Amino acid sequence: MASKKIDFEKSLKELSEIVERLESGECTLDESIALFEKGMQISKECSQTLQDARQKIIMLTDIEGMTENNG
Amino acid sequence: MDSAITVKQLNFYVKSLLEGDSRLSSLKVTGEISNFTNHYASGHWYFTLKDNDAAIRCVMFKSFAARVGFAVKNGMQVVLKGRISLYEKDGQYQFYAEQMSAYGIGDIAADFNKIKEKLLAEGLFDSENKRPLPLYPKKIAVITSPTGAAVQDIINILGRRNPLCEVVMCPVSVQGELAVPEMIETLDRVYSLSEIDLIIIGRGGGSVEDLWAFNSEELARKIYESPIPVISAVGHETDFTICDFVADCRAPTPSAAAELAVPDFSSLKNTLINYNTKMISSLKNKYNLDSSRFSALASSSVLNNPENMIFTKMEQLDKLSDRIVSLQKQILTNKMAMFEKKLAALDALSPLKLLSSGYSVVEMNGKPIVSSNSLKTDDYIDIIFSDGKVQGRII
Repeated sequence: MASKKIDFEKSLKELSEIVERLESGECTLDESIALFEKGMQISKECSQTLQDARQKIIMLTDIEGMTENNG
Repeated sequence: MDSAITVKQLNFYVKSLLEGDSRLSSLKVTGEISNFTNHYASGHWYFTLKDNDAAIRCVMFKSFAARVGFAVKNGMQVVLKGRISLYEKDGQYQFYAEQMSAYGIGDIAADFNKIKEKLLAEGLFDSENKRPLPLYPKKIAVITSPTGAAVQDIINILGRRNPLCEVVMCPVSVQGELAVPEMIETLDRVYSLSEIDLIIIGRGGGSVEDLWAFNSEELARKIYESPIPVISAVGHETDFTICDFVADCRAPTPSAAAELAVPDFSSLKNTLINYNTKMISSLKNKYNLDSSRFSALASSSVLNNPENMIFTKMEQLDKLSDRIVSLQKQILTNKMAMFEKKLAALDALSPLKLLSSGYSVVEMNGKPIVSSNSLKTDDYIDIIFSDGKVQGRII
């Protein structure tokens, strides 16, 4: 399962900023369309992440093992 | 193989053994009272008698309880006189108390208050030291017993609310002598992992002595040291432990801890849907605004009927040229009038005018003669009249 790993928190924040800018109505139509496309892309990724999410449970010893191997 | 007996038969048998033992039929036992309940209907007392290492369930029937001359409270050190028997319905062996005498407040409650006061004075419970929980934790360490309902509740609720969040299981003993050292060691291990962003430490409900490990001063200090926000979730809503006071957040139960830990999945979905709706409507608004501006411009008469503009200009031009013509006329008239006036003035001064009234001019060699002395005999002169000139000679 190689779904794109995104930072959900960061994406949501970016999305909320885009929505805010769009709502302010201060952008030109071209900018608005670009923002809209970007926002829709992020929203799609987030939805996909939510849809693909399966709870992952790991043991403390396993995560310690992974950290050691990486280091 | 012997034939099986029923549970009822088994309990009855054990009960008869206990009641048959003369030493158990009348004895004194000392310990601390906890989980004291005065049953609202029957008036019987139910409680646990405990010390640091052991506990036993006790019953004191209403008729005996009525003879106790003081208000019984949890934490009291007491001596009970009574007998041991077995409650057949749930196979619980218990102490049937008949007399109770008090020893004052028990050690455990005293310890609890002592530790609480001490850590409070040191500022370990200060609210300004409490950190906010992360909004979207990615990895949560769950430090609790691997068996029991608490861990299942936490995993289920985390999974249901937010499967995005990884759960790092940290199995520990939560009661008994190993509980405190194991929890401290596990906390140290979790602190050394950089990726954990929230810790839940706790256990399900139990008696005061079951929860006792969570009143440990060492454990409380270890939790206070945590570089990661900690939710303490020990027992039921009514149970308060030292760990609860020192943690960044106290959850009334392990289930509640899981609820507090992560945002609800469905609310995230709603947030996304909400954002999408907002983006679409903002873009629509923008488009509508711009296109209505455009159509307002596009429908302006200038763009639609450019000839109108020309007509207007032509009209203006006509008016202007009319004005110029009339001005020119006026100027000309004025100039003519002025010219005539000047001419009249000039005419009045003209020598010809004098000549025409009978005067004449005398010249010699083209120069006017203004004095008789400048003439001598035989000089030839010109005499100029208004209508011509004649020559003459001075005699």
